[in-house]
Amino acid sequence: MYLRPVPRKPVRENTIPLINVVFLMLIFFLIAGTLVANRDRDLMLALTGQAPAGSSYSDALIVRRDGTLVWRGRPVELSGLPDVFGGAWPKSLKLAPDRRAKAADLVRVAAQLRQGGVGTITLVTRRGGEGS
Amino acid sequence: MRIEPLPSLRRRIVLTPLIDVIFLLLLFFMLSSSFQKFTRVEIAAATAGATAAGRTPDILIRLEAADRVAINGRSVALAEAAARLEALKQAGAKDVAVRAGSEAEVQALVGMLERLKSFGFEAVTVVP
Repeated sequence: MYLRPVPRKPVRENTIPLINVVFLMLIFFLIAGTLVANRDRDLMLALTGQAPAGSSYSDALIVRRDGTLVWRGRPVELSGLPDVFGGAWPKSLKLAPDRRAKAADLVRVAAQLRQGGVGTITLVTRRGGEGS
Repeated sequence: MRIEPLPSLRRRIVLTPLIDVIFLLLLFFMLSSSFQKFTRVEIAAATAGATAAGRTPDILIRLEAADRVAINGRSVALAEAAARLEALKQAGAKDVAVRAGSEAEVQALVGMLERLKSFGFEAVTVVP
């Protein structure tokens, strides 16, 4: 017996549910995440327990693990920092040290900033969670 | 004269470019957003030789390697440091100076600063 294949009409796939899900994911990432400028993938911030909430290290002077300094994505020398700020030290400055860096390096940087006239120095840390 | 209405063309809107753009946006935000909860710790750095208050500190803490601290020169394990600090606080100590040894890491310093704050010490200074 010869069966003729059923002629199939090409059915357009329904893309609306896909768009719905992708839209929801987009909205989730928009709301839940924070964008960090000059993100440093090697930087591991120090962990804290009950320190007050702060902001990201986008505008912070990063002290990397080996003690070198990074400002806005560019490595800087401490002595060259006033030029970046237009010839004068800022009133306050955020420092984002790597938690594996030598504490003595951080303290040396902080002391020099202080000597230069930086009034308030704040460390950027992050909430210590399980699994991180 | 009879004018016939135009036959309305029911065309489906093409959604593929829309999905393309939304996918790109999604990718961008997935890759570039971070989910860390940032916190801040104030650090009062002193220039060499003086605390922020300009007085001699009552307690001098030196961070040593491997979870040990020296409180006023006596080296204790970090676990025992709490009791020691509590005793000194009871005795009326106010100003604390924290000095980092060459082995100590930033995490130890941040942990100590946080701990001192929770103990209620007023003036904590970090000295080089």
